[in-house]
Amino acid sequence: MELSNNDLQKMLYWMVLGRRLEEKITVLFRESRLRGHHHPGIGQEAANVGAAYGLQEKDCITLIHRGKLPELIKGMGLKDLMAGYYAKKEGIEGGRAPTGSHMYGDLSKGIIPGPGIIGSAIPLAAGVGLALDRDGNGAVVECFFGDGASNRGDFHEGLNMAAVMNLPVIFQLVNNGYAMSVSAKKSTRIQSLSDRAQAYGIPGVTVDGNDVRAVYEVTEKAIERTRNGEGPSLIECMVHRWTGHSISDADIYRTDGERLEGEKSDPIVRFKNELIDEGILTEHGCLDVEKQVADEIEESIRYCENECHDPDPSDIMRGVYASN
Amino acid sequence: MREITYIEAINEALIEEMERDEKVFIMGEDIAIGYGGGGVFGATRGLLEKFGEKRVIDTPLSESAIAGCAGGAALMGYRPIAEIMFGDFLPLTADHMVNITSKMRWVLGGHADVPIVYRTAYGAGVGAGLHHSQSLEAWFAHIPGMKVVMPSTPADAKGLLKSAIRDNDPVLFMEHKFLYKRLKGPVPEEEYLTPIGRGDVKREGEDISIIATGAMVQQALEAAKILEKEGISAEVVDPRTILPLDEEIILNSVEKTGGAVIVHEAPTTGGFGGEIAALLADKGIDFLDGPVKRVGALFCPIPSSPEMEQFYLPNADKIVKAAREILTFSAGE
Ligand SMILES: Cc1ncc(C[n+]2csc(CCOP(=O)(O)OP(=O)(O)O)c2C)c(N)n1
Ligand SMILES: [Mg+2]
Repeated sequence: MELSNNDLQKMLYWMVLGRRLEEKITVLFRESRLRGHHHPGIGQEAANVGAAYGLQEKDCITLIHRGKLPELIKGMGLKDLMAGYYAKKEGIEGGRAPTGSHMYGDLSKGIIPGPGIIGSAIPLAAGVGLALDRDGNGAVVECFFGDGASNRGDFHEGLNMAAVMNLPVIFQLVNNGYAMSVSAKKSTRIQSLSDRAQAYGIPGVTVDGNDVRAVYEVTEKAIERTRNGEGPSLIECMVHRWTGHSISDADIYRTDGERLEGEKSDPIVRFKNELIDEGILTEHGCLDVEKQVADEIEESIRYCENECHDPDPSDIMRGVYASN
Repeated sequence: MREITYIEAINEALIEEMERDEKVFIMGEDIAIGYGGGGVFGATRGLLEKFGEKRVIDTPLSESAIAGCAGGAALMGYRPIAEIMFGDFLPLTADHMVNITSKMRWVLGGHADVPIVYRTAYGAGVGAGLHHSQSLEAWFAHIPGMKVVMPSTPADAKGLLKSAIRDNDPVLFMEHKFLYKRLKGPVPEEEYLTPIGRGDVKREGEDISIIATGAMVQQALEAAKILEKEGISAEVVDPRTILPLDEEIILNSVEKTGGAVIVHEAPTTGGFGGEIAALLADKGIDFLDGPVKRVGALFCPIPSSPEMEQFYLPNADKIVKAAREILTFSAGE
């Protein structure tokens, strides 16, 4: 699909929403208004938007713990998500699961929870792909995971199985160079993790994850292949993790230089400048996007703090089995 | 005596044993630097500086390989400590523990030492949710060849970890993450070992025995205080290691008190408490004046909202209630 000006503006909106949402959530955690996990996805917006923007309603995603944009783009409501952070009854999982991390979703929108067991989503996605393949509707599943997850045995088993079964799975590896405190340089000897695709006989590409259009194009190509019955692909999006791993991480294992590396190639600044240079958006239009996003986030917080309810603890016994 | 935290006690044990025996090494994710203080929680603080990268090994995110590697190195005469960041990841290492290392000595006719300690941070109470909070000890207490250790105090944590590292069989060493920085206690300055397989009476009492493990020992002590106000004297017994289990200390206590409440943080259903209840039914039936009660978590995944989590978990009040029920029953007899 050729991206229209409207699409490009929408992509910018999503990126800005992702950034401001994560910034705001970080503040809410610091102020103890939120509790639990939070893994900021700040700086990884282009990869997430580029990867998810081309998905159709019938397509599925499996979630990663960092960054909420794929699920928002797939139709999860901002208020529902925020109420999940607030562990409210109205929230996406009603207080059960740590929304700041993983294991929430909405099957009706093709949003498959990502396990807190990093990497286990990979073979899970192969199974989703198997079902989509048998359904025969030409739908695909995009599986989001990090460089760290790619060192799990499940990565090997999941990719190999998806490959031999020719399943419609796009493996989106968001490579921010770190798994918690461990640098990817210390955990693999290859330069590009996409090289691993060769081992499974599937295409593997590495793309600049700060370039939203490049990610979109590469993903589109992979999706098209998949819809044509040519099987899975591995896409590696190179990004920076701007913050510590989580809000509990003092991030002392990186130098200041390394920590600030990401901000030099800010994907939002870059995309905004491109759109302005190309006459697709004005400076003023950019401010409008910021304003719209700020209003939406404020409204979602107001909703959580004023309108939502704490869940009834006994609700945890519901839904353990089909019979209750 | 000086008081230190549970995690400081673990850190001391690691340092002392690595200093004592150069065959001891440790491998795991984020253990060298981690969140800044050695690991995610700080258990491995200072190890990298003291022992270097060859003995303090930051691994890729590969739980199965951590457990497998520890197995291979142990067979070759090393004494690996395999750190599994969260107890919920034990299912990923279970193949090596359940199928391989625990059976290696036996299959070689007893002619192999397999000195591995699998250390893991387990347990709920910190709002970490369904994949970072579980207590899976009962799974492993079912495996011949394994040992399962669950210290409840800083002193036990240190003494038991030192024993585990010196043990020649695979040991699952379960560290309760809620206790890490929250529980301080007296720990001797001079060296000591706490034997694996021996329980400890954490509080003496006459009227009822509360047999509790891990973080539930603190809840049991809390319950004993509440019961004391009602004129009931509760004894708190901590088995400390569930495999092997100190049957004698449990039977002796129940012989004295005539009643037993068994408490663990894992769900009651299928939990290790059933094993203790069976022990009492088998060898302690003459001592019992009333039913044996088990207090554990509800039979559902662990919720992350703090209010829901507290509802899910066993606590002092639930223990007190069970104790009262037993005593009411015995009084009615
Ligand atoms: C199986 C498993 N091992 C370890 C962890 C702890 N952990 C949570 S996130 C993480 C790092 C993941 O790195 P990566 O896959 O690169 O994703 P990123 O956090 O960088 O986005 C680790 C080690 C976990 N949750 N699951
Ligand atoms: Mg990473």
